[in-house]
Amino acid sequence: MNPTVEAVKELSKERMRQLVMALEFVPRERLQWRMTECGKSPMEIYLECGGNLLMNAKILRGEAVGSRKTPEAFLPEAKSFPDLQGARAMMQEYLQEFVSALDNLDESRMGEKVELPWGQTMTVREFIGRTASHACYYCGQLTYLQSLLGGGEARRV
Amino acid sequence: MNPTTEAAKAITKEQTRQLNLAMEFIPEEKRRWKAGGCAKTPMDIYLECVVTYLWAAKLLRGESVDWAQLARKAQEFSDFEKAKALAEQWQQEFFSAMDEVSQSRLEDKIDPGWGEKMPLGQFLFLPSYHVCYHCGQLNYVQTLLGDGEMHF
Repeated sequence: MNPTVEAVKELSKERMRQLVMALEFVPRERLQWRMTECGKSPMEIYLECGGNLLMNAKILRGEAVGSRKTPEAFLPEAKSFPDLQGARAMMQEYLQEFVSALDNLDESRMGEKVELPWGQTMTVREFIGRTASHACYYCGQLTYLQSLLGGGEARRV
Repeated sequence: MNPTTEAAKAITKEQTRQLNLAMEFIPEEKRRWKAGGCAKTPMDIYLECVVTYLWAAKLLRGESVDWAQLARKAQEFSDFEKAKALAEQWQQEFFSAMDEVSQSRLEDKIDPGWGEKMPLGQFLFLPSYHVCYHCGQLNYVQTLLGDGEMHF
C-alpha cells in the first residue's frame, strides 16, 4: 500500500470522526435550525460532508459525476433525516465507499489529473487529501454553531 | 528541501490566502461582531490562527510556549491590515523553523501540549488544518450576514 494513500485514509477517518462528534454535541432539537435564512443548518452541513465522500469515491473510481455546483447534489434534502440515526448510517456507508475507492487506487494514477464537477482540475495526489480538509472546514462550522447555541468549542473531540 | 516540508509550506500558504480572503468578505464593521452574544468574533478567530504559526515555530525549535502571552501580543494588532502583516511575519517564522527540521527527524515525536504526541511530519500540517477549520467558521459568519457566495 502506498504510504500517502494510507496516511490520507487515516486522516480522513479521523476528520470524519471529529465531524460526527461535533454533530453529536448539537442539541437534537437544533439539528435543522438555521440562525438566518442564508446559514446552513447543522444537518445540512453534515450531509454535505457525506455528499462529498460519495462524490470523491465516484471520482476516484472514474465514474461520471456530471456537472454540479456542490456535493449537496448527491444527497436527499436534510429534512429527509429528521434524526441522527439515518444520517449516521449514511455517513458510515459513504466513508466506507471512499476508503474502498482509496484501497483500489493504483499508485500509477497519483499524477493523473481529475476534474471536479465545478470545472477545477488537480492531480489525484492533491485530490485525495481534500476529503480530510473538507471535513475539517465543516467541523469548524459545526463547532461554531455549538457556540451560537451557548456551548463551547472544546467538546468537539 | 524535503518534499513533506515543501508540501506543508504550500498548503499553509494556500490556507493563509483563504483565511485572508474570508476576512476580506466580512464587512469591516462586523469583524468585531459576536454572533449570538457568545461566539468568537471574526477578528478573534483570525488572530487565533495567526498565533498558531508562532506557537508552531516555537514548538518546532523546542522553545517553551506561553499561548496566553502570544495571544495577548496578537491582540495588539487589532487593525486587520496590521494583523495581516503579523500573519505574514509569523507564518514566515513557522517556515524558517520548518527549514531547520531535517528529513531524518520527521518521525520524531512532538508534544503539542494536550498530551497526545505526534510525528513531526504530521505536526507540520497541523497549523494548515487549524486555519482550514477556522476558515469554515469565517465563511459561516459570512452566511449569517447574508452572503451565501463561495469566495475562493
